[in-house]
Amino acid sequence: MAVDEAEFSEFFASQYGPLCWLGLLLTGSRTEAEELAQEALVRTWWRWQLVGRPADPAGYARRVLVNRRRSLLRRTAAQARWLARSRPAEQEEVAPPADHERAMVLWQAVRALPPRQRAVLVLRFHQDLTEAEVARLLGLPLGTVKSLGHRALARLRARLGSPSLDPAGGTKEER
Amino acid sequence: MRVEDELRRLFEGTQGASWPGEQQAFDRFLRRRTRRGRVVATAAGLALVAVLGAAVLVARGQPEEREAVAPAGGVVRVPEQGFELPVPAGWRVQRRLTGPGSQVVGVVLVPRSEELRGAAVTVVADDDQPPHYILNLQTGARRRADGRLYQERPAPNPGPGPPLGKGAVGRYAIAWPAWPPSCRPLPVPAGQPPACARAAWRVLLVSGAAAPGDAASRCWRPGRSPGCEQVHQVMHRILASVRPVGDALPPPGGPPTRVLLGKGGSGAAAWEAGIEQNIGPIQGNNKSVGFLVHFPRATPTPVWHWEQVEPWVIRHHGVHTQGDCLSWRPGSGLLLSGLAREEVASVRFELAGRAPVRVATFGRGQPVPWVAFVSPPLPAGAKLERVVALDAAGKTVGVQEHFGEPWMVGWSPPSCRSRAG
Repeated sequence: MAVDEAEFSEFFASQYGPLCWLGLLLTGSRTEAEELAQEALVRTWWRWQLVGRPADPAGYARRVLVNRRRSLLRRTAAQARWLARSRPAEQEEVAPPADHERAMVLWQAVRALPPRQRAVLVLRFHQDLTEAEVARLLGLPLGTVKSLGHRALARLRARLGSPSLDPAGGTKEER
Repeated sequence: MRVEDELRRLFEGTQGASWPGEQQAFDRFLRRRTRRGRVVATAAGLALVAVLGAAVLVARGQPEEREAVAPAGGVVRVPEQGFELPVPAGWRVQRRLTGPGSQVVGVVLVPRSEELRGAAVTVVADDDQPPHYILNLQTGARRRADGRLYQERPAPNPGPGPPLGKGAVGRYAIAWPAWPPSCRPLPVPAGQPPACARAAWRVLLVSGAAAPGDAASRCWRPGRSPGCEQVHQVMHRILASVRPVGDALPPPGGPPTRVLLGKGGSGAAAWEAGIEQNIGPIQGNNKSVGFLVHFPRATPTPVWHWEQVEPWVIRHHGVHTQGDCLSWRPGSGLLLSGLAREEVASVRFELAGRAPVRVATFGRGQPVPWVAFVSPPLPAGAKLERVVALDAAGKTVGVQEHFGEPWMVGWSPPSCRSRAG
């Protein structure tokens, strides 16, 4: 079942960026994000070639990416620590953070979440999936997804509400 | 605003945003697809060969019996993969596996008793595991007495490694790093300590298969047959007793973890810059290499700023920059530092509304493929626009214009606010 190469290259152009962004949100690493996106698109092409065009190729590629990510979900504690980076001067600011600073703080807090919690938030709020869909995609019970989401949001609230996001007391910064 | 809404807003920044390097991505995709095609074809060919080979072996009877090996002193050594193990009582080494290349090298143990005839425990070191698999070992992992992580992977889904086949009891996967742990990509001159960008991953897999008579009893489930239970106990004994030898032995004093590239600055702005491996939880096999700037005279305590090195980023831009606000200094100040490709002789910081600042790189000749740079403290309020990497002739070899997260470009270029002194 030959792939229509023109159609696929159009599909690639439209989906590569969004898949990379999804990969970045899930992994926190640009390199890994590109790796995941490439892998997802290669697998989608092979599916297209061997079985035929998926009904929803973009959804299929996203599922492949998330499933690939499932095996990558556990990151090292060291990496989690360097993701939770902070800057001493910023944490000493007394003025309320401007919008973009708050977004950075939020993003840092999201990146510092344990991988499963981060995955649940990204799939819920970036991909707009329901909890049931997230559960299916991650292969987790619905209750687990709910509690992961609940805990993740609670963590974010706690971190956004606190004056400092520095997990190491400002003495050691890790990215 | 609710945190859920803030999250949606944050993620909206990615909608429709382009991804750096999109242009070259399709070429990479085509190359990858072609490679995958070759792999698929090769795998299909190998599978066919394997099926034919198996058919020949079956036709010849059981060749394993002829290849039996009797270990000396009840200990079997596999130095090429860095392990040895005492042969459990009542079992013997049936054969050694040499595998294709250096992968899947190990031993097959079988019971001496006729009662368990057909059961086997295989111990192999599979060094073709991708890093994420090693990291996955942390999921529900436990530690052996010597600190090595291991995980039990019950059949029928034992994870990577050779398939278990009928009567599968399960598999233990043990983190079994090579030492020094991560020295493949970085050239290290003689006499210099290693510094590496990627780990050399290796996993020891202890896999069990029950005797044919027990195969139907679903050996991975509670209530399994006594035969399955015996195999599982032997697997567990091996898990506890397998020992590192050769390159799996950590060197005395531990591996070097730091390469100092240079020192500079003065007073409260004194710094040391270098490459440091971040110590991870898998006893050295989980080391990211990072660029470290250390401010030993920061107050109230010294400050370290460590960022993981992504060689891809440095190759792509020629330079990778990080910023520190020297908040402990009167008036604060921005200090820019980072790594550049080896051919970069100097780095020019272009600042909004201010004269550019140019600094020479340093650290050349060290056992890493990069050089480092550190700016003098720039006035608080200075805003970085671009970093230009120049070679010895003053020719531009790379430019970094994006700082921080890709979709936050322009939001937060490195800058520091002024503080009262």
